[in-house]
Amino acid sequence: MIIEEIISKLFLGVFNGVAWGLIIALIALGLSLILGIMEIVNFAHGELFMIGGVITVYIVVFSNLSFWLACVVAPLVVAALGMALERTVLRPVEGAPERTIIATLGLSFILMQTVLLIYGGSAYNVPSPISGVFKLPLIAYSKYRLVAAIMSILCLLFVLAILYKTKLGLWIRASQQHLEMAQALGINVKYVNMMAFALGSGVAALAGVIASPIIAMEWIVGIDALLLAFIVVLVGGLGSIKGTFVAGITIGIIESTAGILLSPTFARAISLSILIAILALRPRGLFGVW
Amino acid sequence: MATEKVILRTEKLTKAFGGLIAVNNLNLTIPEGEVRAIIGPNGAGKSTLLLMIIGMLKPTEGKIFFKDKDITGLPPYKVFRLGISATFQTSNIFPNLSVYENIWIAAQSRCKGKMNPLIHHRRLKDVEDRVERILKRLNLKDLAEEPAGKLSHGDQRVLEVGLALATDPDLLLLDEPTSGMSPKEAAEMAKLIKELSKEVSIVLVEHNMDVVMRVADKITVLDKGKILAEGTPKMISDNRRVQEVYLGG
Amino acid sequence: MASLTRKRFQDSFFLIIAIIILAIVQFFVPSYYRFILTLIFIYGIFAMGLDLLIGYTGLLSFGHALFFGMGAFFFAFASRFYGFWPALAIGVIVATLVAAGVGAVSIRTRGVYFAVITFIFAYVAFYIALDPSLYTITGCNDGFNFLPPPISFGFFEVAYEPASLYYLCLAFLLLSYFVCKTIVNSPFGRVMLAIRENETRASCLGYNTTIVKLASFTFSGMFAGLSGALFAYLYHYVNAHMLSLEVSANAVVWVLLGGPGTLVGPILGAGIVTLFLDYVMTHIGEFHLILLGILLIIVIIFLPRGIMGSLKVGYLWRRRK
Repeated sequence: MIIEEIISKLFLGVFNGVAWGLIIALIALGLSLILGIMEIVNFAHGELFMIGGVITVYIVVFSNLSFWLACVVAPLVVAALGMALERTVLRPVEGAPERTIIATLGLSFILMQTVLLIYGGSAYNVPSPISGVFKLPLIAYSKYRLVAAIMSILCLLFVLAILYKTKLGLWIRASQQHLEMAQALGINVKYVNMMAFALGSGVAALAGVIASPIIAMEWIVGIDALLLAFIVVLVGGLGSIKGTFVAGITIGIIESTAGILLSPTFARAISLSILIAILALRPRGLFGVW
Repeated sequence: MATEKVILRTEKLTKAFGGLIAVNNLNLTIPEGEVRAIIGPNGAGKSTLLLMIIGMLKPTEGKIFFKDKDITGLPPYKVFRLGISATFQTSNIFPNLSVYENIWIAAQSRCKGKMNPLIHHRRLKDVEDRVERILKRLNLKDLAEEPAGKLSHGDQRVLEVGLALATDPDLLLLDEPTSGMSPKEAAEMAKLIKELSKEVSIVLVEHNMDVVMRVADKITVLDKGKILAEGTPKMISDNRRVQEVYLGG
Repeated sequence: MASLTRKRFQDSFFLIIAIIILAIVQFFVPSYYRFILTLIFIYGIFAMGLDLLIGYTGLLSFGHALFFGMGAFFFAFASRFYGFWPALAIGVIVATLVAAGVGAVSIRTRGVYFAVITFIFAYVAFYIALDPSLYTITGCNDGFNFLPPPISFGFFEVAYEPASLYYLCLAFLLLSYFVCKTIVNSPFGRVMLAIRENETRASCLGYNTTIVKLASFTFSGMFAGLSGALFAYLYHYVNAHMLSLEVSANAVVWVLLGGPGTLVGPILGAGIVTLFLDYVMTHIGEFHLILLGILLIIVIIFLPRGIMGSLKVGYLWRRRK
């Protein structure tokens, strides 16, 4: 009986972990893009995720509109916000990574408390757009989680398509590889930076939308998301999209499973231990390019 | 020929980056007191060689000996305590500190109390003496209080040599010391190198052939990670193969 | 050499004047501001220690709340069983050990990621402290009060009351200042500067930069721990938020605003920010995060040298003319 319980919890943890891990990987993807292309360590990234979720709450819970509408509106709004922030606050400090940390941390605080003041301190859960469960042998797996996983994967493919199949993507990759060369070739680096930041922000916001039926959205969820995203980026390796996703899914599974079997705090401690181990044994991360 | 003491020696030194072999089975012997210039086209392995000597890159194979001591694979801070000094192509100075403070830090590195957190640093009188001597010798006394980052390029290069000297080295590694210098400044640097060669052994990586011809006792030409030719400046400048591969002028 | 002695004399002179002023001023200000000043002294210790790391060694840390919190919590725990001095020692020692541990793991990281790692450590600790199952130990969000022990000097005791707290914290601030100043002026301090300016070059001069960075990190953690213990003593209360990112960020603002690499600047920074936030809290409302954020942005864009740093440059410029 107890073994059955443990095994079913394990299965649940793994399945949920994959969905959650993909969401984290999406957040980390945005973070990694911004970091790799603009050398900005975006401490406000978690807040962008949070705002995506909060906008979804406004659209679905407060205004009773469609979840799918939020999927379109939230990323666009946050991407625009990202562009505005990049042009004003981040331009002066670009190129000096440590200054970007301080500037984005400042932004993070401002965004957090602004949301607190407007949205309030309560947490809201968004009702799943697709309800119901799959009945599997030992567990009941929420249909929405599967949809969430699929949406995350679609988003990844979308980003890859932009990076590898569009002109903007080409410019982005060129600027990342060799900035001076890109400038010499006439690529408008300022424009590229702004769009890259918008892309990263939009992705984070979409992750927030996808996550909103799963976790309750409140003003403090951003830092938690940021923490996990950083761990994923560091463990997966900088500059590697594959690494981000592998690490994301792994950490997601571990956090979910440990969270169910032991406790969320324990899970967090385990994630930290993994990070420390990676730093000690393979400082570049699992698939790190630099 | 009397057996000279060898200050630097490499034995079958090899460095491979995946499929690319940057340094290939290199056997180099440099006697004490010599000024050895290492020249070669870009990609010949000169920088890789230097990086391995100072410990920033680990050789794939082979060994490096400094004064008969095996220094292969030692981390840089250990290598630089043995009597080796270097100047690099990228910035070698401490930009926001004054010239005096720059040289102080270099001079302090050879002193017993160099990491002492308890006394005032000015109490290290022998460090103070050494700093004064170097300032005088390199004619930097007037610039002593200037922030090093504000110096002209040529003066910065002289300061870099000052930092390298302040540790009282037996071997000095110079990586393209005259890069970015005007002909006049380069000639000054050549004169300085010649002067220094009376006290220290020097290994010089250079592209400026005027300087090389003027200061080198012996030249090693590298190509694709191997020694193409070795000999006195006259021998090398007469060497047809070297001319083909490298010498433009 | 004459100019050096003159400078030293000037510095000592200003220092003595400052000490005298601070010693007397508490008689003339309302008790609320005496409390704020005591708090500023405590924060000043934290700020100076952090300046060793940020201003002198050039390493940015966003996790020092961890050591501050450790100092606070372990002082609180220890004071249940021991007197003031042993409890203080325990708080500081634990904070120092934790700093050494975190430092050992984090120092290996390159450049910017160091700041990220320190943030991660502090945040995970904060997260753990908030765990409901640990309520009896950490008190989570609520925290817990404790009985503050009197300060005993063997045969006589100083009671726990505002004036003695004021002078206690002032004394510790001065003590910390002297320790930091000694470190900064020492040969070790020269190496710290070298690392800040050009770490590769420093290691290519034979300095073991890893050890120096670790020592610098540990020192700064020690001061943060001392600050935390005194903070807990002042409030006779601790809660999990002493480990929060807000505390770490506040400390960084003190250093950057006041002037990194000046030791005195960060104390000034702590003073300005604390007074400013206090004013806003009492007269305008709960906007401290927004203000902190704005301060961070303004400082990093417009005041890269901080206040003292900009003043110093101006002073040097005039002297050279």
